[in-house]
Amino acid sequence: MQKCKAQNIIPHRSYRRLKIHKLHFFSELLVYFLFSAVAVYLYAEYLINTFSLYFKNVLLEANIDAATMVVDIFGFPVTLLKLSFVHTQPIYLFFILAGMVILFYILRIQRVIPYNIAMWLNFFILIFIVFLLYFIFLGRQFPYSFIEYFELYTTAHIGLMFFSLVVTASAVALTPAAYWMKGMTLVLLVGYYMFYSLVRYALVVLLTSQLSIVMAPIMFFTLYLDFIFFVSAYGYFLYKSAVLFQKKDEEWSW
Amino acid sequence: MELVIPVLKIYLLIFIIIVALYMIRHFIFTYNRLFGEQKLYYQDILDKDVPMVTVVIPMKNEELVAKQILDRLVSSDYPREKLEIIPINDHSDDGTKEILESYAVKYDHIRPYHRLSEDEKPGKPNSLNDAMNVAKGEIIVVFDADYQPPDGIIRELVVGFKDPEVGAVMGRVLVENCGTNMLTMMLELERSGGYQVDQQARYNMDLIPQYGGTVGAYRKEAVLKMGGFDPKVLAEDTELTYKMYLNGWHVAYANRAECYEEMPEEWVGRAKQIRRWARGHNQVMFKYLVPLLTSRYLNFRKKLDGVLLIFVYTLPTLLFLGILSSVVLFLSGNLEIFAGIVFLLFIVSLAAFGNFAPFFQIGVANFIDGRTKALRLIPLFAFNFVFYMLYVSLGFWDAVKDLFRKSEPEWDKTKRRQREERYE
Repeated sequence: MQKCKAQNIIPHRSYRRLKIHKLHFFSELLVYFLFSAVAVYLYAEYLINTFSLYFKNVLLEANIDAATMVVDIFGFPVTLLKLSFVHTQPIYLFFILAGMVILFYILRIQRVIPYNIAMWLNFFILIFIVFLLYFIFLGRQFPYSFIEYFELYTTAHIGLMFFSLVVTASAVALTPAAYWMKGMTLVLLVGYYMFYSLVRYALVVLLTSQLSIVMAPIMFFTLYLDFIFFVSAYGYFLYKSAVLFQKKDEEWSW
Repeated sequence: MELVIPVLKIYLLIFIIIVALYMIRHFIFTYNRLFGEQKLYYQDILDKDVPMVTVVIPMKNEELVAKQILDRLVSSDYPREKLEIIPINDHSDDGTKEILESYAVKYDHIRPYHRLSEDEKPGKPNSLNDAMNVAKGEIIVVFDADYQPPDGIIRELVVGFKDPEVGAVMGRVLVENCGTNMLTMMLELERSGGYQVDQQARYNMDLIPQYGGTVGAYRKEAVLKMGGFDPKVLAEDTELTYKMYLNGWHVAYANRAECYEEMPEEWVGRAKQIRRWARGHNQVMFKYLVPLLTSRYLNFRKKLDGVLLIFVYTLPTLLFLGILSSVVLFLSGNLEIFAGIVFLLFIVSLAAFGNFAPFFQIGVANFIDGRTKALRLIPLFAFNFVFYMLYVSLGFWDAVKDLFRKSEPEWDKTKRRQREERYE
């Protein structure tokens, strides 16, 4: 509680709210929505294509047989790398499976990592175990070729990027900070995420084509963890805004 | 397999639409709380003609906290002649009984009610039913034993009943031991999201603010007419909320009537608590969903909010099935058309777990509360979703089993801590 300067009352947090111009807010939402759409368009239409061609040359220089292929994703012609999966011998998968089971057990009984985080890790280990069992017993039935998988992965990634941006941008719109601060936050967020996405793209290609096909479903289902990055950025942005804002009594109304 | 795949696809699509609906709902709540006109509670009403009030405190083995809440209540500014305090000793086998009797000797308006006979079935709903039968007050105020009611809170809660349409009132719960560890810090953030934004927005928008079973009050006669509390339902608070609305009453939310409580400090305790809540809430869902949809007292908006609220503790189970469906569809090569949107499901799971409040709702609530440093903890909520998904799903499963079980469920109470110990 802070003593109100204008009146001799002590304002309470219970009913305080912020003044808003509705038209400004909804215009802001619209702008952020368009910004998200444009960012995803740039990524799908230009960045992936350019990176795929660049990365193909890098792989060829490293004596890795790579080609490109154009596929249609959300109506955009997207150039993707075309390689082959590496199938791992079941015996190796058994060893990994045993390791995962042991890790699962250790995480269950340990007391060092907080319970919620250990449980979260175990959830992913469990999903990994399911994939390992699948590849041990039904590996040859994996229903995707490399390019089909990669098309699915890219579709999911672009969808995730769009929804994450829309949700985060809407949350940013709800934050009472200066427009330039919000804009800068979103631009930095998108810039960093695009860079990260390309690194992840390269990682998926290398892991699935050079290490093991088992990495294909794992890389697909861990995609959504990227959203933690968005939430983290939002949390920090809100914290910074709040620090600046709490001193401004005049911005609140009751 | 030919039949399974289309079923999974339809399920996944419907569930993604539902979670998107929840997300939009919470965005509207957050917008309303931050920028909308706030509906004030009745605390500005000044009236000397206050009703007779009975404060009931259900207690089972509460020797660690009993003295504190009774000391707080005897210092209340509510007129002594209009106040009765009934601590209910529900089969305690520690020193609770002796503590209550010592207070009864000192204060004539404290009248402990001991439930020790084997014929008296334990549990909060049974305790509340018994207390209502002996209470002199026309308004019943309920506090759990680990709460610390401030001096003026009884008056603040009770003044709401000046409105003849109000059947129950709910105050705001804050976390007393928030600084103890990461869990309690996160619970404080969650609580803020649930009360400062969710409850107040629903009150603002004339939807269904929830009676929470503690730091709350209700009209005794109204509840008795509705048959009291069902001993088989663990969430007697949620049940009362729906009963009130189905009988034409309203629940008022008093955001300024703040009261501190002690939250679990260990994940195991939190797991038990959330499982119990999920079980009780789902019991209410099974019992009241159809009456809610067919109620003549509720308009479409209230029904919609009531349905979304009643399914809150069902969602994590549906989410688990959604994740399972997406894995099966992926491995069978049938995820194509969902690939672009399936992650919306995961986004919402990461965004909306906690006290079922999305990250931006928790952020804005704590922003309004002026809790700046804690905002940096928001990303950590992402790690809770598996924990909540598991224990809420177990609670849902318990509720399903209760449908086929005739006996009353056992009350697994949250472990208390002695405050003095913590401050040493």
